[in-house]
Amino acid sequence: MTQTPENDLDDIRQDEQRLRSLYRRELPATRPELDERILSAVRAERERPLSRGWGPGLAIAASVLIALFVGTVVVMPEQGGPGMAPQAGSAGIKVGPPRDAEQMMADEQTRDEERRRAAMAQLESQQPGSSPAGGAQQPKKGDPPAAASGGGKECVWKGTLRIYLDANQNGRREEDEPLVDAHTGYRLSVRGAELNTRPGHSQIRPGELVVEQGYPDCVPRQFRPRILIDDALYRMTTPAELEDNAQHLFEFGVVRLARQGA
Amino acid sequence: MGSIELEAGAVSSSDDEVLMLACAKGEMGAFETLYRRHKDPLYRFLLRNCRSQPVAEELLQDVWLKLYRNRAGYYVGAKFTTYLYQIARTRLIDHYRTNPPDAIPVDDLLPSQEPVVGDRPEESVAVADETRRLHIAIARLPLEQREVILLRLEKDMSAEEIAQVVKVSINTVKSRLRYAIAKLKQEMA
Repeated sequence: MTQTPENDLDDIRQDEQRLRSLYRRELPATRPELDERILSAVRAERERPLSRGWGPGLAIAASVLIALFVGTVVVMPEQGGPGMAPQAGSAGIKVGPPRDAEQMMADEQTRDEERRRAAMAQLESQQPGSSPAGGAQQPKKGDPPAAASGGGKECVWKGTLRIYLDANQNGRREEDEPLVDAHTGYRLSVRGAELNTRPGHSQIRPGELVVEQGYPDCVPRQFRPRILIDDALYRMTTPAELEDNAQHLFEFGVVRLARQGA
Repeated sequence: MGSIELEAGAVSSSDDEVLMLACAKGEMGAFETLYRRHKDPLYRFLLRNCRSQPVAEELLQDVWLKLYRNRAGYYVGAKFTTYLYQIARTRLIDHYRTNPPDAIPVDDLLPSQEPVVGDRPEESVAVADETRRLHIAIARLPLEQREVILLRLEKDMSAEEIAQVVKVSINTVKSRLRYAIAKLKQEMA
């Protein structure tokens, strides 16, 4: 019995099953010589030093930020493409031929580096000698969020992210999946953007984080947030829930941001 | 206060993503596991699209090299397979710039035409013929329909995952799938 991806096209499921069944009668595979050639090429590549940028944007940012906060929330614009960081001002509105993936990543890493430096400089200037979990200077109510990158902003988008342990990783929170009691400073710096917790709270309420982001255009946005949990700083209610996930990485679905004002 | 909306069926971490993160840290074994796990479906995706074994092999090597070269920039923003097939698709499009798909004879794509031997030779031949006609029909599909039907048949991707790979809306993917399947049915009739 062949597998159906999901019932997202019920009306053509039967035809699809028949085609799939036929399709899978002829499944050419790679030649062993090709496998060896490719793996050899990659091994040779491995001997070469990394030539690009500062490496994994998340790794460095997270290593610093996790020391400050419970976790790092990573946002990715819906149109930005999986595995790639947000491209400020471009999501969903540019039309053009697809670019070379390698070049895109190189460009992205350059932008990430600039953002990281700006975010870290901002963090350092805002939290001298203060503990990350409290006492950090709070933004005044109504303060606009910092823009993802330079330039004016026209719209501010807000959404609330409920952080929970998606233990069964189905993208939905079940009753037995606890909200994360996240302790953090008032501002989380994330890759390529900033997230502000609710103004006036030095410690966000359990499981709730207000996403507030300015953008230079008013295209509707949504994000796929995730949080990287740091063992040293985070205490699980039920640590066993993390056993199957060595990276302690969970994803939390899509947060739609509702427009708050111009 | 903004609203909350968590969509069901969101991407989740899996072994592939963990392996890719390990690969990013320099673990060659993790890369090799990923390679062996995904090489054949990816090869077929490229082969069915470009219709040439030597070209598909070349593209396959390019894709894996790109994946490895960019390992440092990887983070789990979506399923690994979505990420992998995005790179593959981008490489295919680059290839099409110098080798327009319409210029490639359909016959180049045909699967092996060796007779299928079994307990019921007549039935096997009939099935082989049907399979052959399916691959010809797939090869004749417009590019945008061909790529979505291949991702669907080869990788069992959901419409949402395909939408992420080809960077169009889910509804567009569904529409292309419907058109593709209708055409394939017609050709196979």
